Amino acid sequence: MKKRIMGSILIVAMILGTLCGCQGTSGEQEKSPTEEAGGNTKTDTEASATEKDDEKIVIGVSFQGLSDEYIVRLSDAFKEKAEELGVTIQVADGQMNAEKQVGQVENFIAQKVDVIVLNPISADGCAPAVTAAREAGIPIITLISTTSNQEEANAYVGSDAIESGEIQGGMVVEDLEGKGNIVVMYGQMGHDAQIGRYTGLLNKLEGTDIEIIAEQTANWSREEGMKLMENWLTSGKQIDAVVAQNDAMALGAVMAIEAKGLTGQIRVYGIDAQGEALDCVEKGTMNGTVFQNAKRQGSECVEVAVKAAKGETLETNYYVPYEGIRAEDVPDYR
Amino acid sequence: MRQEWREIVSTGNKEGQFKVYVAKYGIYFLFLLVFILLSVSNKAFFTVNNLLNISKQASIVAIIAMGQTICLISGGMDLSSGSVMALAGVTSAMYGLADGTNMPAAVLTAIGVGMTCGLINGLIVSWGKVPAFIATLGMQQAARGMALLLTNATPVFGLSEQYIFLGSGKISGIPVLVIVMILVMLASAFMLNKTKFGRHIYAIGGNELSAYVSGLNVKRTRLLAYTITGALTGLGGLLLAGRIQSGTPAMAEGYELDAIAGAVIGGVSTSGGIGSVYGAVIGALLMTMVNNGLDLLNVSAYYQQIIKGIIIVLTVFIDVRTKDIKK
Repeated sequence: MKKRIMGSILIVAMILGTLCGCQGTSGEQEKSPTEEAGGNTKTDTEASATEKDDEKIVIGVSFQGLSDEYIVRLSDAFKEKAEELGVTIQVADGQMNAEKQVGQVENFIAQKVDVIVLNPISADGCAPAVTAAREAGIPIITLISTTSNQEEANAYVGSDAIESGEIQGGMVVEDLEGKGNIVVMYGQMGHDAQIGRYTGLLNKLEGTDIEIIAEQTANWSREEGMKLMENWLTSGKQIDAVVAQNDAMALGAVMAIEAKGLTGQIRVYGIDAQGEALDCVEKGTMNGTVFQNAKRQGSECVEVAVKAAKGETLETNYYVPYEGIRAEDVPDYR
Repeated sequence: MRQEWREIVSTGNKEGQFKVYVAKYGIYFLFLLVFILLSVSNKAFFTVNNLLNISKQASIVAIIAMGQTICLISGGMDLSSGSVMALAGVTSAMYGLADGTNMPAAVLTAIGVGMTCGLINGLIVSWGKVPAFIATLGMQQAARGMALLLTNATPVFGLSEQYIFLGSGKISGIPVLVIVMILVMLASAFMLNKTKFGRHIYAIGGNELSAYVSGLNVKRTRLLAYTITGALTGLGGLLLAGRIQSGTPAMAEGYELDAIAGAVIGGVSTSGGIGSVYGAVIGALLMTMVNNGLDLLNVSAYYQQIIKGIIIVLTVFIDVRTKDIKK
């Protein structure tokens, strides 16, 4: 008897758990305040029959991973804009896992959301999600990174990774006056931004006497960036500049350089313009970073998504430009 | 097992003797071999600076690996280390900010958070009877989530001098990290080998039933083992935050696997009852050394991953073979 009671409690708990779990994976329902208060009772089918007004639009969005500071800023901007326009969004955290993101998009399709926004972690891994949305006839927009079948998506909102590499590379070429030895810290290998930023850097280095004497991944991580820089510094090669594909790795390099007492002798460049990196650029321990406008990317994406939901024609790309930051620019970005 | 070795050694069987030495010291031979290979292939490798680098870089992984060793010997496993480190790191960093730093609170918070997580793991495993793999996987998710929630995924930076000293300071030329690692090693080795509690950990991991039958409090021993593992994990989180001069919620991702790999390379059995913290330290050093050497040689990241994978499987393969010889 006791066992049976325990059993039923467990089963109830499991069902509750599963329900909560689903809620968790498919994301938090973010109802706009007007909808919650107003109690608009028009059903979805009725709404889709007529011209949609903003307040009935449901956007399903899958972010590559909400453990990353940049993506969190992006999602905050996204939520803010959605609230402002009064559209409903469903947020899913892809947890840096392409397969999860594909599943989340499939869930959005099953829920018949009006438009899907995908911020893919992997160009190839997330491609099936775009195909699935296309087949279901739901518009899909990619945000800040693209998939390998990008042409199947309705639009791209974000920046051009190559451009950020070019801006960074431009600063390096300018500071080194076209000659010297540099080392390059990659992000996660195969990541859209890793490939794009490298291409951009090479574009700028072409024709100069700047040589890449070592290149290695530090997986976007500060601790790995620090470790890598420590190893490079002991290799005994002359290093004039460190080009890191994000600020976290650049900050790791700054610490390794400081520990060796070489501050000022080796230039350091990052991308992202995160708070601490701005401090370093201002102090001069870093020589430049590149600002990617999370706020504009997020809010513009909501606007594009609303257009898509209303069936308006979209452009293929909505580019939000990158901006290079030097010490004197820092106050403008705080 | 040791007695069997002595028997073979005392019988004067030359071939047998050799095999016993390989079995007992195989990892040390391998370590030396790799060390020599790297020294020969790159002149920057065998320098005081670089050796200090390696020991510094290996210290935190080694501390976590020692925690794993205690857990593995008791027949458990802890997949939550990386996340618990992040949680301990960010919470303690909040007490270590340059304005209003409180070092005792920072240290106690880190170790306390680690111990609490370890205690919860231990309770779920020993009283809840949930497999360690699942229980600690749950903690891995939950602790990372907590760390992200507390910081809104933003690093806690602007730490005080004292806090940073823990991660990057030196005492008469020796990095603080290395000193802490050695202290942890001596203390854990003493606990495992010289105390009754330590022998109990081996006993419950080696054969839980016979430990129970001979009157050991298996549940309590297991609970304590997890708690100690948690404390070491918290300490690791503190040191890592000091080293990277910020409490980053995304830090230490995948550390548990590096630590388990280090422990296993060092001869700790994943099925419990066998292993030593010295082995774990050597294992962690070996992995770091290979990584360092390949960085110096500028070997591509792809090859590095392949080589690491091969080393992990190969050492355990050799270990399993040689353990058969012992029998």
